[in-house]
Amino acid sequence: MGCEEIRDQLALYAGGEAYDNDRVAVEAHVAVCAACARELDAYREARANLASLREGAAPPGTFKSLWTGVRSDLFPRKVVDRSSWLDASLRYAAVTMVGIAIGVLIHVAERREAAPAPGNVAATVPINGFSPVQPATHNPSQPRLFLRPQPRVSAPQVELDGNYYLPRVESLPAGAAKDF
Amino acid sequence: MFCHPAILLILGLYPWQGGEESTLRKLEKEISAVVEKVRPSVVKVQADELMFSGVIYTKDGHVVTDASGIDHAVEIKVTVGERSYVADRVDADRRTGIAVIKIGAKELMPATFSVDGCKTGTSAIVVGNALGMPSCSSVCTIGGIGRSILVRGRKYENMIQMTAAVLPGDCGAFVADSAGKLLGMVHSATSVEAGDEKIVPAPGFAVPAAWVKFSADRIIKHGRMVRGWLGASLLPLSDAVRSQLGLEAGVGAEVARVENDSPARKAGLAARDIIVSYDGQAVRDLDALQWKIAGVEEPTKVKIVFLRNREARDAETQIELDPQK
Repeated sequence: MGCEEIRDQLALYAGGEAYDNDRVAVEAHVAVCAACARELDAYREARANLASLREGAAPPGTFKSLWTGVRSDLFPRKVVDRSSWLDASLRYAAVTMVGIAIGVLIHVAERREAAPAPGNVAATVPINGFSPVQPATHNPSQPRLFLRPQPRVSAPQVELDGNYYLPRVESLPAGAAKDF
Repeated sequence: MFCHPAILLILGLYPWQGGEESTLRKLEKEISAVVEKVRPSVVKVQADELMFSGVIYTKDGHVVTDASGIDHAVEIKVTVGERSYVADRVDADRRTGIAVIKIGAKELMPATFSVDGCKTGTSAIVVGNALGMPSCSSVCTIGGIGRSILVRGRKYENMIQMTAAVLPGDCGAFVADSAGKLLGMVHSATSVEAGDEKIVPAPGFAVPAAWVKFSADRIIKHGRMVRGWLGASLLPLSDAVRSQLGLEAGVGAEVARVENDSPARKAGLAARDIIVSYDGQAVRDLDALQWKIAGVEEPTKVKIVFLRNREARDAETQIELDPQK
């Protein structure tokens, strides 16, 4: 339950007229909500002051009708602005934007760490057909720009004569001599 | 934006000529059909830690692949589709770089071989296991035939040169023609280098189908590689030299080098001799002579006529079996 629902139950709880499940909810809520706890204390104080004015126990339903009637005067509710949904939406949007910005910054930082050292750019070996797209002439003082993200492919580093076998031609012998 | 004709053209969807299928689309279908036809005949070969490709040669389990790839391998595994088999080495031909291995599988889909050979400028499709990716295909052009290359100190002849950037793992891959028949088997590749860094493989080389078939047939027939050996390197003769020597057009081959302890040495041949006749026939075509000598299956005596200092000499020697050094 939120504060609004709990506040509807506070007067009943203070007067001992709340249902068991509502009572449990109120106790759980005031344990963590200082504002509602203070309101509950005020109800209890008012109930004690009222009890001192008469003898004997009040009949059932007295507190419900009494406190509910005066509650709005004692603790006026905040005026709920119907346009507050806009504020909430903007807050969520702002939080989302901040999250995206953090993600982008982390991604760019990782890419810069993974990028080859300046001077080795031309020696980058494409892995599984993908290679980073970057300017042909790269100024090391400028951050690297990638037009598309490099896919996270867990391909092994390609070596021409490594585990994937393909002999390399050393030379093309001159002349047309054939061995017989 | 996505309906722009250029985009549709790239996607092969542009309806040329009143809704007919585009040329590009037809070409795509043709290529796709070739790849699908070839794919069942392409296998992955794992020789210890090396991974490359191979081609199914017979339906009862003979696979042709690269000879140097299985050198010194303790265990050879072949993956056909989803199934893996342990392979036995049969033998290899050091001259062509072709090896035959055998797996315990039946009813495989062997490659069909092109009998037309290949011509420079025609298209080909390479299907292999580039970078470990199964049935990886690329389209290329035949850039040349009859190339000689040097790989790890060994000379290979009659190679097909392709424009395809064959990648590591493509060794032993299927080079198909437009009908899905085997034009050759990928052997090696050059690479463009910048400083000490290798960037990307450049033109690839393949063993022509005729030599793949020759080596594989011999190995399967004999259980080991059997081919004839003269032990000499020969050069085609220029027309100018022919006219000086008074030879007929197209006749003659110059000896460039003679190996020690070879039949050529025993015949008394030496560098700069001109062979004009072999086994009673005029020498006109080095390719034909190479096939003839390689085709010898047991030591065979032949007569050779050659010119030395314009003087004709007769010699007799025995063509031996290639020691496969």
